[in-house]
Amino acid sequence: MNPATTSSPTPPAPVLSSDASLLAAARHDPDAFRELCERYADAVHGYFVRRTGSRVTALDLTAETFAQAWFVRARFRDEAAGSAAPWIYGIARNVLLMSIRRGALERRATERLGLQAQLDRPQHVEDQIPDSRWGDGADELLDMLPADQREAVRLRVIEDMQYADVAHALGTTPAAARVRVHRGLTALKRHLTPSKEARP
Amino acid sequence: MTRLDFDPDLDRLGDALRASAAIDLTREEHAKHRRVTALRGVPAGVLVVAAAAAGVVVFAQPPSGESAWAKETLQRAAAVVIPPGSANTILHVTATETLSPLAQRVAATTVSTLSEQARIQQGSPWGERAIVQVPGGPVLEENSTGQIYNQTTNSVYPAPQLPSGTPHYTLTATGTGTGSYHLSVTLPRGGVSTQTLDASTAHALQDGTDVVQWSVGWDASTQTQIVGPVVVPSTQEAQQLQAQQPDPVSSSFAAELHGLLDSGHARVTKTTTSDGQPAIEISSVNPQSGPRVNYYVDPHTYAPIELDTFGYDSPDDVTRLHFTTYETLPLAGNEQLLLVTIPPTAQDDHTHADYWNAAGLPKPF
Repeated sequence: MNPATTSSPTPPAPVLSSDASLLAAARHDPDAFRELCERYADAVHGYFVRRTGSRVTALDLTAETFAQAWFVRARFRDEAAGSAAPWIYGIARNVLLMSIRRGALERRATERLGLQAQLDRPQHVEDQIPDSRWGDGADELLDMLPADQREAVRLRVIEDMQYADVAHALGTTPAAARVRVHRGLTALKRHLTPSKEARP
Repeated sequence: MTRLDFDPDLDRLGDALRASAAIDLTREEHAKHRRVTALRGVPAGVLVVAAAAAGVVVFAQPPSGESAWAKETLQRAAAVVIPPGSANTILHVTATETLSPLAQRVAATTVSTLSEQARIQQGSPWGERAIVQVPGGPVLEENSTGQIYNQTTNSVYPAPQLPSGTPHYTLTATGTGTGSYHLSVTLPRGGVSTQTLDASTAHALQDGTDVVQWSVGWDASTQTQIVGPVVVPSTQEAQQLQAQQPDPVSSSFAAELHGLLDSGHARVTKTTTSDGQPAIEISSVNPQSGPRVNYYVDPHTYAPIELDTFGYDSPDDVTRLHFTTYETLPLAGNEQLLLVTIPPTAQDDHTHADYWNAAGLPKPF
């Protein structure tokens, strides 16, 4: 066989892991968590830039969001067909609201993880004092959902309530609450799953 | 790793997260190891007896994949798992540990090598005497109550006292709608300790996966000893952790290793030698908790010869624990092996800082 005339085999398409499998691997594999971060950092950063108007502040809040996600990764529940988007969005929203409430950028998880030192960046540079207006529209994604799904997703994913409690709060059955959450998450997944995920 | 289409700041954040996460995993592992070791006395274990295996096979060829050889080895691992150990036996172990640079960083120590000799009763009341020596440093003896005797300075550091009973606590939602809770515990000497828990930890407390216990620790920044509540895995949860990380100084080591092989979380890799001794290498596979470990065990008894624990950050980051003595002795006639012999001239040292300096030395087990 003449090597010059042999066509190279087509390289296999990269295997894309679901967010859920990345989070499962991230229990003991930092690279898996880094990949998850790469999938969502842009979207989360964009969310914070829209809220705060500052790239630098948004970067701090993005770091806090992923530091918190790291600490609670073992408790992630796959309820959106493998997507972690609603879960990460819920954490980001809480980081934002907590910063507004405390009047200072939420950094507890960042500090606990030693992330600031790894970023090799002085703390509290260009700090902005959180403004209550940052919270306006914090639920922009949930607002896209019908009211019954919005409340079900908020209680289940953001408030981390059990289905029985969600059902009690909504005056319905646990099975119906589960259906609403599932439909809401499926809709959110369509909006939130970043296009980067499809890139090689 | 840098992607051209990715914001460089976010790319740097990803790298920093990865590095911090790797260190945190190692820190978590050390904390788990300490918890599991502290709960050593809880489960009824099984005993490895050095001369138990009959029909010893000499392994000349390394296996390829999950061969008949590996299956046979697995069966023989089960064969050496024999009746539970009891308070009538003592496990006598001597080992040397070489800490990896990352392990040193996590333990905040400059000590890279240390040796330990331990005699551990294999049943209630779990009497123990451990002697730790750092090259060029002090020789320390510790008993099961946590008292430490410094042979070098002839000083005794009494163990700090924990409050009696279990903490009474209340768990209340913060009411901020963020899914967080306040854990409030009345302290033994008055006052209330309040800490914020995330929802998942609160649920773990509610469903019994985690429990609240008293702990005593040392705050290096203020040089003060602190007694307070801490949330830890329940005994059952700790047992599950232990099952995933065979404890080399427990009589259930062979049983735990066998369980790991049986569940597919470890596999027999090859025959080899360790320090001139024939050994079987067993490697953990995708561990559910903790780092990857290579276990080198005696082909006949499954007693540990060496444990190599790999860091999360790099395959070259290995902490090595090498055993030079591993034997089970009857308690009868050997009771004195469990006693720390403190000369009458020894001075009691009640300085908290001295105790914590001694207790803070990394220990192999």
